[in-house]
This record gives sequence, structure tokens and C-alpha cells, in this order.
Amino acid sequence: MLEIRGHARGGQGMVTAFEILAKVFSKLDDFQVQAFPAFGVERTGAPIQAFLRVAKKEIFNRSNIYHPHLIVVFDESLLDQIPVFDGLHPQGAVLINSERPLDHFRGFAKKVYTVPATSISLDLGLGSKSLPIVNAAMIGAILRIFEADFAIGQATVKANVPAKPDANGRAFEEAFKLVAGVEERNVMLIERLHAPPTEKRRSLEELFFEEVPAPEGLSAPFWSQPMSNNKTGNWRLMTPAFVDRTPPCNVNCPAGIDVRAFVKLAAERKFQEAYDTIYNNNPFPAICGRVCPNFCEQTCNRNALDQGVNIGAIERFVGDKALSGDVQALPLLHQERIAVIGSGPAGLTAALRLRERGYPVTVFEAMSLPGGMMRSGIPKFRLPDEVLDREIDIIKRKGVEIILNRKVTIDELSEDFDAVITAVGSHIGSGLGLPSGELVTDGISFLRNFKLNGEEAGIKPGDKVAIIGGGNTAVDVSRTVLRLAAAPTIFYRRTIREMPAIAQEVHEAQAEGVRFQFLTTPVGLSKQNEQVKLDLIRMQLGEPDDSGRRRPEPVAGSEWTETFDHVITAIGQRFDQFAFGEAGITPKQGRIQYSGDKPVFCAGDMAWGGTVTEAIGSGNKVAAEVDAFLRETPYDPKETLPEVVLPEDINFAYFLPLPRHQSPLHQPEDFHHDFTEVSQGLTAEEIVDETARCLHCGECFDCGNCFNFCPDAAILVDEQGRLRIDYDYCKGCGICVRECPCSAIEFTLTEEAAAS
Amino acid sequence: MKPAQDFLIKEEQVYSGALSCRGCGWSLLARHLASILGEDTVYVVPASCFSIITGPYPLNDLKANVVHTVFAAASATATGVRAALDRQGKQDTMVAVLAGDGGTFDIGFQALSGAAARGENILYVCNNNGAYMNTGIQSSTATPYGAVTTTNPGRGYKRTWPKDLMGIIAAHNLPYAATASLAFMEDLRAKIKKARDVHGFRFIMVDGPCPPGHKTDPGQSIEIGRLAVESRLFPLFEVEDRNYTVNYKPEKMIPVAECMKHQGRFRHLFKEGSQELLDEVQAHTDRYWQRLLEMEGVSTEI
Amino acid sequence: MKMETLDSAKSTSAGKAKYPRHREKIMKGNFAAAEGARLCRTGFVPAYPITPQTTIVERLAQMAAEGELDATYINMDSEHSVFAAAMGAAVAGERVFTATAGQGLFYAHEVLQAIAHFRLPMVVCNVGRPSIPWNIWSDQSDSLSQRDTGWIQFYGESSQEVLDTIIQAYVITEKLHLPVMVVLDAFYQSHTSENVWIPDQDLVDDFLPPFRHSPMEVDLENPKAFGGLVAPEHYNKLNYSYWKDIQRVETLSESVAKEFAEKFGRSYDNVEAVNIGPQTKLVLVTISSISSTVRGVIKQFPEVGLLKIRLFRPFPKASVRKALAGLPPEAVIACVERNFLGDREGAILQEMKRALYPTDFKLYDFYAGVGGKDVPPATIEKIIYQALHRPEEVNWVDVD
Repeated sequence: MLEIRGHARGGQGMVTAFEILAKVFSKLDDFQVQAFPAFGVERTGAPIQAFLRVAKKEIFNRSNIYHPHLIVVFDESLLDQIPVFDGLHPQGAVLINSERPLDHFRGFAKKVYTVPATSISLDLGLGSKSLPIVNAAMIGAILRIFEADFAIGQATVKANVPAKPDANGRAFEEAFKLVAGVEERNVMLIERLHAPPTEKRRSLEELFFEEVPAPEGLSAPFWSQPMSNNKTGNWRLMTPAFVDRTPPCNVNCPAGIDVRAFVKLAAERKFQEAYDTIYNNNPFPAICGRVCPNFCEQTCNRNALDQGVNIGAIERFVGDKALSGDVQALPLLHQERIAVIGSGPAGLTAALRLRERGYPVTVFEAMSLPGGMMRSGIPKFRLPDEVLDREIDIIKRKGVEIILNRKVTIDELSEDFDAVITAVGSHIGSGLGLPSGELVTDGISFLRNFKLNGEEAGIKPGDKVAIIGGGNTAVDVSRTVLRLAAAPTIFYRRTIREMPAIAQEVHEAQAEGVRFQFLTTPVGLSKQNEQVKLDLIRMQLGEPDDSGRRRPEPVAGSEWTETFDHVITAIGQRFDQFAFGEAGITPKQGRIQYSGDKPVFCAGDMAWGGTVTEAIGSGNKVAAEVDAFLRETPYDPKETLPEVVLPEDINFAYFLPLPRHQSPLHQPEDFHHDFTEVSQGLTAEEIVDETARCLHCGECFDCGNCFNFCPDAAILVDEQGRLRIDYDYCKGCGICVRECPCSAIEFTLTEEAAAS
Repeated sequence: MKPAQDFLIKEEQVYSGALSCRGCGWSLLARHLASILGEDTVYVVPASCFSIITGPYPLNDLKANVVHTVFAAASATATGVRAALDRQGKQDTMVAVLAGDGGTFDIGFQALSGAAARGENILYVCNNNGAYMNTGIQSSTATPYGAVTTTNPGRGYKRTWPKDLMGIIAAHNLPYAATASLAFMEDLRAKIKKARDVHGFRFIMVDGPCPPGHKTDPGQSIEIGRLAVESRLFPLFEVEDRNYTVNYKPEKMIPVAECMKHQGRFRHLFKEGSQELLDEVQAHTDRYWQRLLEMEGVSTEI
Repeated sequence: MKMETLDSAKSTSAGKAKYPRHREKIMKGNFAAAEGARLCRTGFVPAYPITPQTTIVERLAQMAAEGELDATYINMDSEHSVFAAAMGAAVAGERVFTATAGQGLFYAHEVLQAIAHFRLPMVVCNVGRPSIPWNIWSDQSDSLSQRDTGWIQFYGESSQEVLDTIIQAYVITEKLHLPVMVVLDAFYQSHTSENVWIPDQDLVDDFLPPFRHSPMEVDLENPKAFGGLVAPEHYNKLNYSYWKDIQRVETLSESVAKEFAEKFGRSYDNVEAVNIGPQTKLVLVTISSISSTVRGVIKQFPEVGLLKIRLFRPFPKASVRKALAGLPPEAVIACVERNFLGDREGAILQEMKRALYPTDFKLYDFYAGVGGKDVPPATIEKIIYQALHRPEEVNWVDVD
């Protein structure tokens, strides 16, 4: 008679497997069979046992199997938890569901077999990662050991599984083929199968030494040992762990600011720490809080509930608090001198970071004031001069030298400097590409000349001004024109949805009275007395182009003409070649090809991007690259994309819709010569209230949900007040993972990952 | 709702290691109930999942006395315990019955009604997971319409509506009766406290998630509980001396299908040609909800 | 129905001397049972009506209402609930008493098992009647069909015996933690008025100490679980313990009876042998009130003896063998069965055969009085005649 004992977890299908095996054996020959589980309290994941006897004659034994010839282990993790091999016949064999090589189990038994039943089953869609149903595969492996008839085995499996007969049939087949260790026939097991029961009579001595002593102790059914003696952690198939995941705001900030962190600090009214956190990546918080398109807000997961957190306002508030403290020149640690051409956001950021690293840095600025595009391209009503000056001043006081009114070339710097960073921006506006281009004013120049010198380009109150373009330059020009009491009209070839300008700016422009004409493009220019005649054509949107936006196509026969006092263009910009002399260079982030003995690096608008924040990020990176170059350390900024928390990871049941705090706007009746800052900012109370809208994506904020909802009291608060999962008891149900509002708990599949 | 922002239990009155399935409602309920009732409590537990969860020999999950008893007799046994404790001057010691729906709606109904009618000073907590789960998921009179169990299998799914036990209980002139949900934890805890502090026969029925019985993902136990309340399949209300108060009125109308679709026991209701059945469940739910709201308006002042 | 009151108590000057510290009253068996419970200071009485036990619980309700009995009395919703409440109170450390009959006992069967296996002390009176079709008359099928529940069972023949046995039962139950059932006959005891000597309270207090607390009890300082899942390996330890304690009942019952006799002046034993000696040709084995009638009849039959069984569970094998020690081997033993248990032989014959094995005695069974059919002396005489002259192995008497 053959005796087989199986070990599995509740829910893996072992009981059914043994029933099916019994049926198979009964068909292979005239075998009598007996299959049953060890009856007990079965819970999914909890360890269970099953028994199978097969014999040629009637089986006269109805008790558990204590000395099996074959032990089958459905779940490898049981090997560490249960004495699965107890009582194995001295010549007995074991079959283990495992991917590991046979060698790994040497010594466990006289003969070992393995089969990768889990991967076989999961590949065929049987069960799930947290509960693979491996029974068909295990049956296949077992029958192969006995050299049983494949067809009978497979047919019986397919006829008797509760679901998915074909997949189970395939699993059976795969395992039958893949079970390892079957090179040699297992003579012992096969003989056992055919042999009669060889139970010998036990001798008296054997019996009485084998027997357990007479029962004592329990006299009445009461007891009081704590349930904690039962460590249910070994039921676990998947392990939850507290994780720190990346929120979309962090990942989308081009400067790499730890947005989540500074919002949290602001929520706690730790404005100094918030400022310091921002400053680690961005030295211009008050500026960015005003002019950044707020990539963080656009991707804020709260948009899926109501509206994103007003992170810009928070950054602005923290910046405006001017928490720079007592600024001293930073120590010099290195000899190498670094030149930066351009004092825009990229240049100044790079200069600051290199000075922080201990290098002497000199910034050369062609204009009469520092700040680059922040100075020349952004009107006062968006970015007051005091704010700009204050934040640049901090950089100067930290030791960065800024030389104004100096337009330099790289060549003239190579003697005195060991590295040059070109951050000249893109200050040259693109032309319309139409004849009579001289009739048109370049928008970038217009803004610069107006901001630095007060030049109004001849615009008088009442003038009709046409502005071509859809970006921030066009919008800024239009609102400046408005404040000169003229009448601006923006012509854009796509619709408002495709406008690259910051949406808030566009809305403010509309509210102020700027006229917008969408799906329109100029096709001709001519002078008409003192005015400019503009030939325009209607556009329609066709298929998407490379940028992903739908390509505008002219509508035939839709031309018309309008006359304006001025036409200003803002349709594109490029960098000024001056610094490079005659050399034709391809600008890109970091080190570029340039003839000459000193290394040249690029950053900012000239290399990529187009916003202040992107320029700042670029400045951070180029400084790191220059430092690595000079110190001869490796610079390998291969960025692995972190796993970002998405709206589907957030449990919105725990967040109430709350209105977003919006900065009040300065909107007088008459904008004539009113360059007061439009966005007024929020009060401290409003800021703290707004921070409360943050969902804390990916970072635990001690809401208590996991603790409150754990059915097993397996999450506790330790002496330091931190949440901890007690893996001795956690069953891996996943309620904490689901009910964590901010995706700070995840399932890992390994204990090691959970422990770290 | 906001996350609790609070760790609701300061000192556990249960041990970890309970023999409950993953994602079990019983365990979570017992954990919170015990944290409020404290050690000076004698629990009476008839046959149910909880008989096993709370510990086979030699283990005890609750840090309190637990008297196991036969299926039909929880309320009667509790009556005896209460009488004995009162005679010993321990009137403040709580006697609490922890029963499932089988032991409340069916076999335990007689004893429950008797104890309620006698006004025994007992707290009765029913974890209603809608079937005899411990014995392997068989139908009870609490099993919802349309559900599949092992005794209403496949095409034989249950075609009768569950008993309105709260209505029956309310008719016993009790000082306090309420429904509660684990997904609305603060409400549940407040109700337990309220019940604790009232004298007489108090009854709380808790919507009990059960992953093996409802064929759900264990991690979704709270989520489905929440949907049950939001879709009004399981309304949260109190009855005090026949006065009804509906505690939670969902702002958004969520169809019952939103809750039922997560549960494998209702899977066939989402197959072709079953819309009518879903509609029936929706209509029944709507009627019951309407009636509850009307009861709320009815004054029992004479 | 008019209730007995203290005013109708009678006492004779002879009575005053017969049992010191007693009063004589004429009372029905049911009231004697209630009186017994009162004297034993029972603290908890869960109750449910069923003929013919109802007047026991009514009496107790009245006693509790008037303050004669310091107990919590609760009208439960069924007998199953009655016994469950009894179980609850016992596990919470209270002395419990209740009564039931027939269908009520059958309904409570599940809980009888629980109480016994929980090893809880209590005393319960059962007024025997058979199963539906409705029959409220005297028959011991109900209690005898419960003899496998593990409860100790005493059968008595008079109101006095009921009262006295209840007192002794509390001593036994609280010592061994095995529940005790005291069985009386419907109408022949329950509703029959007769002379009963009622001991004074302080005499009973002398004999029966206050409720003995044990570890199998709710303890608020050291909480425990009672009666949950016990795996096979441990469950058999519980049964082994139980089995060992069952072996002690026979001798304990004897010694308690002896002590009782010393204090109260009335002797009882596990079994009573009347007229069993070398002259005996036939022994009638009985339980309950039939015993009284047999006593009377055998006065005319010197060759006939009576073996009355008082302790029925655990069956007092040693006492029985001792009682029959002087019986000549050719004597005949006839069991009188006022019960029917769905088998060939009735309960008494089954037990006697078991107790006497191996034996050369000839044992016969006589079904008489089943379903409450009256058993007058003439029927006993018929049994005697038949047993001595033409017995079948199993005989039905007066089935017309």
C-alpha cells in the first residue's frame, strides 16, 4: 500500500487535488483508494494537510498517515514554518513546488523531486499571485513520478476540476514534463504502490515506548493562554510594507523640488524649513511662485477630486517671507574659476550651486540689470522688480560675482577661467517669414525695451495692436499694451486649448479685456499710411503634428484684412550666437562640442525647455556636471523613473472636496499705466488651509486608517510614535493597502523587502 | 469622510493571532468592541465563526471572560450570566452577546426575542455577514436576495428577501438598537459607547464583510462596506424607544450595483438577461430607504 | 388551582418527636421539590411551564415574589433557553435550580449535553412523561432517554424522597461538578398530597455549605474562555477526567446519604433491597413510585423481594451486586419498565444485565404502566404470577 501526505495552504486546491489523484489511481489499475484532508479549521493561507492511500486490496486503516512514502509540498514557504517531513519513510521521497534547483534540497530526503508548479499555473491564469492554484500541476508531477498514464491523468483532471478544465489540463501536462528528478525510475515508490500493506505487528516495547503518556491535566473546558501564541504571520502570501513613494508634484517639477515636503512643512507653519527645502533645488521661490506654469499643480492628484493644490501660492508665500536669514559669502574650497555667460535663472542657479560647492564664480550679463528673461521678458505686473532684486541679491551676497553690461565671448574668457557655462537664453524672436517684415515689432524686444528703458515702441492710447502668437510672450505683450491704454488683439493659429501660454495668464488677459482671435494666422503684411494692413486667414485643426497638437490648416477662401497701428510678433525665439563667435554649435544640456582648451557647458532656454523653472533645473544639473568634470568624478545622471503615485492609487473616500484658495486679483476698472502686481497672494491662514488640501501622495501622514482598520491588530504604534507592521501576525489581507488614503503602503512579494 | 487622524484604540483588548480569515469583519469588530467595553465584560458566544476566531483550546483572543454556548441559546445563556453577576453585586459588569446572523435571525431568534422582551440588561451585537459562514457559506434568513451560497447554488440563487430584523427588534420596545458599519468606524464606536451606557436590552447589527463568503478580495472589505452604506443597501440608523434616527444620508445616489459588482456571490446578476433582478434589488432598497426616512419623521410622543 | 399555604400545615405531637428540627406538612411532590430548592438556597431559577412540572416553578415564582426565596426567577422562552440560562448562571458562579418534563426535557437535550460536558453543578427536577402524541402522565421514557448525557440521575418514590434527594444532590453536584437530575413521577408524586417532614433551614445549612466556587467559573480578575473548540488530542483528556469522576459517584452518593441520615434521621441508599434473602424466588426491580405499590403487594408474597433503584446514573453496579448477594441462584429477576426506548428491552433490564454480567440469574422484562397507565396492586400480582410461572423474555402486562 502506498501512503502519500500533502502539505499546502488553505485555498491552494490540495484537497481537490488529492480527490482527483484518488480517482486517477482508481482508473490506472484496480486500486482501492482513500483520500481525505486532516479535518480542521481551514482558513485561506493557513497550513493544512491531506492524505492519500492507494492499494491493490481493500484498505483497512482509517486514521491519519504518520509514515508517508511520499510527501508533497504545494507551497515552499511552509518548509520554514511546519515540520513537513516528519515521519517520512526512511526510503521515502519528497516533491516540492519550487523554482530552485534540486541541489538546494539535497539532504531533505533520500529522493527529492521539484516542479515549478506556481509559474506553470500562473502562466495559465490559474489563481493569482497572492493565491496560485497549483493543484493540476502538482497532480501532473506526482503522476509522472509514478510513470502513470498521461492521457488518463489529464482527462481525469479536466473532468474534475471545478473550473478552467483546459488550462488545468495544460498545467497538468507542463508539470508532467517539467518535474525534475525523474531520470531514474523510483523503484521503491512503484513497488509500494503494488505491494500489499506491510504493517508488521508492533512489539510490546515498541508500542509502549511509542505511545504518549496517559492523559493528564485538562479536567474541565476552560483555558486562558493568550491568542498571541498563534503567530498567524505564516499565513501570509503577500506582504504589505510602508513605503515612501514619489508624488507627481515632485517628479514633474523641472527643478526637482521636494514639493510634497515643503507643502507639509508649510502646513506645520515651519516656513523656514519650507524655504530651506525649496532652496535646495530652487533659489527663486518668490519668483517661481509667481511665474512658474506650476507643473506640480497640473499633475497634482487632487485634480481628480476637485482642483489641484495651489502650490504656486504656497511657494510664493514662503518666498515672500524672505527667510534667507543672515546671508554670508560661502567659503571657497577650490581653485578653479568658473565663468557663466548670462544671469538668467539658469546662469544664476548654476553659479549659485557652484559657489555652494566652493568654486569662485563670475557671471557676465549683457544687459544693464541681472535676471535674464526674468528681468526682460516678464512684465512688472507679474513679477515686481523688488522681488526679483531681492532673490538675486541673496545670490550675490553668497559670493557670486555679477558683472553687468558685459556681452562676452567664450574665447575671451578662456584665459582667466577653467570652465565656461553659456546660459544666454533665447532672446531673439523669430520673424513671421512674410515680406515687409520690417513693419513688425519683435515681441521679446518690445518687452525688454519697455521693462528696462520704458520704451513704448510708439504705442499710444487708443492704438489698435495686433499680436501674433500663443505663448507667454504674446500674452505678456498684450497685457502690457493694454496698460498703455491701447487695444490689443491676439491672433493664434490654433484654439485656446492648444495655447502654450500659462492658462491662468490667458484667463487674466481675457478678464482684463484683451481680445483673442483663435484659428487665425497672418498671410500678408503691407503698409497703409501710418498703419499696417494685416491679411489674415481662418484655420481649422487637422491631424496632430509632432508636438501632438492638431496641425492647423488654412481654410481656403477665408481671407480677410484688418488694419492695425502696430503688429507685434511672438511666435518663437532662439539664442544669440554672439558668445560662440563663428563656431556653429549644437546647444544641449551640459558639455558641448566647442573648439578651445577650456570646457564649455550649456544650460537654460538655449539648451532646452522654455520656462524659468526648467532653466533652474537645468542650472542645477549643469553645476553638478561641471563640478564632476573639474573634480574628475563620474557624472552619470541616468535617471530611473520612480514609480509615481497616480490618482487611481489614492483613496478619495477619505478626502472631502474643498474649494481651492485662489489669490485675489488686482483688477481695476482702468488698467491705464497700472503696473501693480495683479496676483495679490494669500494670507498665512489661507496658505495653511490650502496646505490641508494636499493629499500627501506616497507619504504616511499618520491618519490612523491602517491602524484602525487592521482586523488582526497587526499594525501598532511603537514607542517612538511610528507606525509599524507586526509581521508575526500580519496575514497580508491588504485592507491597509486599500484604505491608506495616500498610497503609502504597498504589497511587496518578499520578506526582505518588507523588512528593509 | 476624512481619515480618522486619530488612532482610535489606545490599548488593545484583543490579542493578535486570531483565527479569522484575511479581511474578516468579525475580527475587526471584536477588536473595536472590546476596546470600548474593556476587561470588565463577560462575552457569550454561540456557534459562529467567532467561536473559532476567538480561540480554540488553549487560546483566548479576547482579554475577557468568554462563555461559549450552543447555537440557539446565546441570549438565554447571557440571561443566566447576567442574573448571576447581578446577584454577586456586579451590576456594572457588562454582559455582551457576540452572534452571527444565523444565531440571531434563525436558530437564535427565539431566545433573542425572549431576552429582548424581558428587557434583559445585555448588549447584543450581531455580525451580519449574510450566511452561515463558519460551516461553509450556507443560506440564512439574512442572506440577501440574489446571493449564491452552497445551499442556494448557481441557478438556485436565493429568491427570498432577508428578514427585516431591525424592524422586528424595534418592535420589542428596546431602549437602544442600531445598525453600524466597519467602514464608518467613528459612527460604529459612538454607537457602541452609547449602547454601553444605556440600561436594558441593547442591540447593534453590524454589516459584516466576509471575503470567502461574499467572494471578494480581502483587501476590499472596508471599501465594500463603505459602498454598502453609500448605496443604501445597508442604511445606518438608530431606534431608541421606537424613535428612528437615520444617521447617514448619502449625498450622491449610488446604485446598488456599484456595491454588488465587487462580490462574486452576485456575479450572475451581472450577466446578460439579469438586469431585471438588479432592478428588483434597487427597487426594494429604495422602498426600504423611503420607509426609513418616513419612520424618522414619525413622532412617538403621545 | 389553589396553592398550599403555610396555614394548612399540620403537625402531630408524635410528628414533633419523629424528626427533630422538622415540621410535618401535607404537601404535593411538586411543592416538596420547590421546598427543597428553597431550603438549598438556590439563587437562580429559570423557568418554563409544562405539565406536570409547572406547579414547581409557579411555587418558586411565588416564593421569590414574596421574599421567601432569595433568588432571581426568570420566565424564559423555552426549555432549551431555560437550560441555557441555567448554564450561563452556573458558569457565572450561581447555585441553580429548575424543573421540566417530557417534551421540555427533549427540547433541552442539546443543552443537557453542554452542561454536563462543561462540568457545571446544578440540580434539576424532571417530572417524567413520555413523548408526543400528547401524554402528560407518568412514564420515565424522557429522563431515561437522557441517561447518556452524563447527568447523575436519582429516582424517588415519595414527596419526602424528592425533597431529601434534592438536598443531597446539591452536595454531590458541587463536590464533583457533575449535574444532577432528580426524577419524580407525574401525578403519583407531583400532584399527590402526602405527609412530608420539612427540615428547618438551619439544619439544611448545616449540611449543605454555601455554593462552592471553582475554576470552571467566570473570573473577572483572571479572565478565561469556557467551552470553545477543543481538538481531539485534548478533548479525550476532558472525557477521561469526566470518566474518572463518574467512577466516584456511587461511593460519594452512599457517604452523602449516610451523612444525611445522621443529620436528618432518614436513610437512603443507592439501591434498596426489600425481602431479599434465601427465601426469595423472585425479585422485582423498579424505579420511582411503582416501588411503593410493590412494597405493599410483596407483604402478601414472602417469596418475592423488591430491588428499588434510586441512583440510576451512573448505574450502581456494586450496590446492586451487594444487594443481591444473598439471592439464591435459581431466583428470577423481573424488571418493571414504565418506559419504552425503541428497543426490545427497557432501560432497567438493560442496566441490570450489564451490572450483573456474568450471571446465572434469569432476568425478565415487564412493560407495565407505559404511557402513564395505572399500575394497581393487581397488575403487580399479575407480574409476579407471570414471572414465576410463565415468563417470556420480554412481557407486556395489561395491554388490552
